[in-house]
Amino acid sequence: MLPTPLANTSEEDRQKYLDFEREAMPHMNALYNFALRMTGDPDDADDLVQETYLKAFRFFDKFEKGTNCKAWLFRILKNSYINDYRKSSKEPSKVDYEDIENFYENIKSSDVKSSHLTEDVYNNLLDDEVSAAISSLPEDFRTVIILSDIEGFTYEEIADFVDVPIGTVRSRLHRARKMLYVRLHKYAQERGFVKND
Amino acid sequence: MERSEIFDLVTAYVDNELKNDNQKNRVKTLIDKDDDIRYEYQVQSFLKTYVKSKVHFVEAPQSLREQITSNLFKELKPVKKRVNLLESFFNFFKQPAYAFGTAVLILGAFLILFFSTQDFNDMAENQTGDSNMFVEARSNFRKILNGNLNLSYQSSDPGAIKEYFKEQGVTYDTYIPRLKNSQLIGAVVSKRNGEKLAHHVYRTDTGKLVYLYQADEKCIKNKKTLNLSDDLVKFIDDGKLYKSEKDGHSFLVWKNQGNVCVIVSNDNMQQLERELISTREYK
Repeated sequence: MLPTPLANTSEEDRQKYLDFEREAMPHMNALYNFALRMTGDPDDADDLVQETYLKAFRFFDKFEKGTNCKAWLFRILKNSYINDYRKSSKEPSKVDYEDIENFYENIKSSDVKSSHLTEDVYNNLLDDEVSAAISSLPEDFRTVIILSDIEGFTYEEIADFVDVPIGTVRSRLHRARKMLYVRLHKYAQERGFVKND
Repeated sequence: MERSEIFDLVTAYVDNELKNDNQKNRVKTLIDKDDDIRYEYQVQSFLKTYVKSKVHFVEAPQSLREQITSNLFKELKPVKKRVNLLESFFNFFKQPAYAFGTAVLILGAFLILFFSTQDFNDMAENQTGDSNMFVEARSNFRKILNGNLNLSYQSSDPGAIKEYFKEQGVTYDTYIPRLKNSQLIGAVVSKRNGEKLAHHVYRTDTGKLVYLYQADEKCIKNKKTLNLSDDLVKFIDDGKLYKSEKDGHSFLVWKNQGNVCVIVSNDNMQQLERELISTREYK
């Protein structure tokens, strides 16, 4: 039996809701996790996702059936985030990429000499520490890591999402992973999993 | 090509984003031959899978899901449902009979009211005219039975019906009692001289209908919207319950917290009285 609001609405609205439920609702976890990573606060993430779904439902007739609904929802969420949260959010302090690059080169020289990447040491890091490392990245880098490595979007989708050329996505992702690698290495050093240089 | 550009291509290679086979082969060769480039490849590959394995999804809270559903439901516009009462009336008789009874709207104070049976013609139908509330109620009930008056809002939820009345412009507080052996089936709003008036219907366990028409007493006292005979108005103003039976129909008229209420039912008065209960009013 249909819930009362559905039973009491027009056939058109009912079908719209059912289509929306089928297409959009399965992505709620992904949206919530992304919102959580961007805002850093569960209540803000809640509000952001609610706002996203409301906007998406209102504009569902503009969504082209058969295209990537998840990407469409993420775009809506991003715009809401930019409009409502970005200005008030605490942004990790700006990073001097040159410092990152220098540290990276130091790690590299050591690893290249030993002919292997010390992957094992990073497995000792806790999941929370890794999440914290990702959250500490500057927003632009954090976004591409989340969209590519966690959510599995293509470069084209990411480029559309962040509104930059595909080439920029590629280089930004490259730098983001390097930056993350440096942060993880520092964590591993602090915990004694890796010898200090 | 700049070294940094090659490193970027390595990232694209790791992500299977190089669409050009020549480019893919070139990057693969460089990875095999160049220690630096191979290192970049290892770091990029490692992090891609490492992040995926280490970052765990949090389930969206159930409260969030419920709130979203609720928000979306609010976006849906209710439509007026047309119900062929005659059809549903006869369909009901195909179902097994339940415990017999007809319920009546009543408050606790109703139990101390003075019951008095008045001659049908003596009071209620005096001073009749188009706007006589009693006559209109009787006429409406006949139309409901004949299927000539549809309930424009179908619901068994008293709260929803109250909301419906509000949305349709009924300005006075309406009373939607829960009846012991009857189920609310729907409502309709009429308009008379600019005033919106509330009507709702129950179906009893035995398939009889109970129709309740209520209006703010001001609608009657102003003599513009509705009227009742002066004798009947005085009768119910004294806190009394008017009741009568004619042609297989039972009638009740009384005043309930500022609303004049008229009940018409095709159940007999004995059953109506038997089902006099102190009902919980829906507020």
